[in-house]
Amino acid sequence: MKKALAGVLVASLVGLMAVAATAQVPNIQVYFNGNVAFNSFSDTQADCQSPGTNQDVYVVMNNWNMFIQAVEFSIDYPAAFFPLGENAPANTLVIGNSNSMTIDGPGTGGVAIAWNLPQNGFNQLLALTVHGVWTGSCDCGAGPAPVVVKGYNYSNPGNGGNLQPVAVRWPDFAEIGGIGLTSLICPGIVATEQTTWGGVKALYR
Amino acid sequence: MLKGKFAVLSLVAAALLCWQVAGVETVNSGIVDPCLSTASSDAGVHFICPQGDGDALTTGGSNPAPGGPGLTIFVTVKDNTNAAVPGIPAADFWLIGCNDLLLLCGGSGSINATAATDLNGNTTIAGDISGSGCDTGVRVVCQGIVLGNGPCAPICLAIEVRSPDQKNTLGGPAEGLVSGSDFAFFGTSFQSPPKPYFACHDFVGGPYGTITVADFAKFGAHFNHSC
Repeated sequence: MKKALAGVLVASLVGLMAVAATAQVPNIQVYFNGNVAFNSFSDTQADCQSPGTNQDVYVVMNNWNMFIQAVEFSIDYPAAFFPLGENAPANTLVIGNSNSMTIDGPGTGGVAIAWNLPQNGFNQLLALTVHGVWTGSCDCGAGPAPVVVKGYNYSNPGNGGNLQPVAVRWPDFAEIGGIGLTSLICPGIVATEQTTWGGVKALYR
Repeated sequence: MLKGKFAVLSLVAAALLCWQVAGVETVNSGIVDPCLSTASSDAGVHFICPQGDGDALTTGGSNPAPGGPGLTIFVTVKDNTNAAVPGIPAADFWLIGCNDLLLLCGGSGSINATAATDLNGNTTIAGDISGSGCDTGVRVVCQGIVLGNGPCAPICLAIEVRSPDQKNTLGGPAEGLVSGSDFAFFGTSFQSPPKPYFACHDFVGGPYGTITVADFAKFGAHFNHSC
């Protein structure tokens, strides 16, 4: 029993370390709930809503720890959510839109956003608000549908594209790579602790 | 006795003459000679903005400050007797585009020398141009005379000048405002590759040769800037 508990503890610690490591990496993620005025964003998972229901999602930059002059990324949207339009923050220039799908195929789109003044990337930074609608094309029984942030034109890396999001650091205008994180529609059962099935079963032996 | 006085006076006069002649080498006509004057710099890209908040020449090139001169322009002014011309005010120096494709905000005040010419006729130009447009090189102007122009080979320094303002609202040349027309123009080469490379939109090095989000960032940082 002691060994089992120790195993669970180790697994939990490893899990926590993994979470902490991910949290330190500069990333971009989609949030389903936000208060722009208070720069507060939450909920990276959402239940599927009835068709025609409007939904704003917030594309947020986390852990960049630098002043940010521009960013570029794209988003793979699932069939359950259709983006209708999007707003970049005030005093920005925007080229393209966030949808990674274009008439040239998947992974050929993306958006580049440049601010007029450097932004504080030491806190969460809202890059884009996407106004969309639920399509009803949800099959939650088949598992969660991912909303994945990726690089701009990620199907053509090295030819104007990047596999992962890129931000531009002020004042040296260096391009800094980050990672795009995945949010979920129809998340199903949500794990609240980092452990393994073996660890969980061991508790009942 | 009288003879002795004449002799002394003659010697004094001769000494005075020698003293005056000794100073002849520092005399100059003050007429700047475009062929005998020189200007030199390293090659590189210089980002400018009509608002005057572009990059300093010292920060460009392959050997930037603080370790190197960057794209600092070294000027030596000589007259038609090949004598150095000291004391030319800093404001009497400015730059123009080799192909006349730069719009200088404030005219001759868009960029000046760092100081007046010294006793050897030397000075430097190290600031940043307040201006618009895009040109493949610059020439140094001193008191309205383009150095290296005239009968001698023109000195076109290989400093590629690039500004985010390259179009006016009617699609013509730069007008001194980074506006929506410039944004639309920038979009025609973002990103390159795959779009054709247009050097005038390549604002950020490391290395130059592609037009990416870093160039877009620099454009955005100077959007709506004006003379």
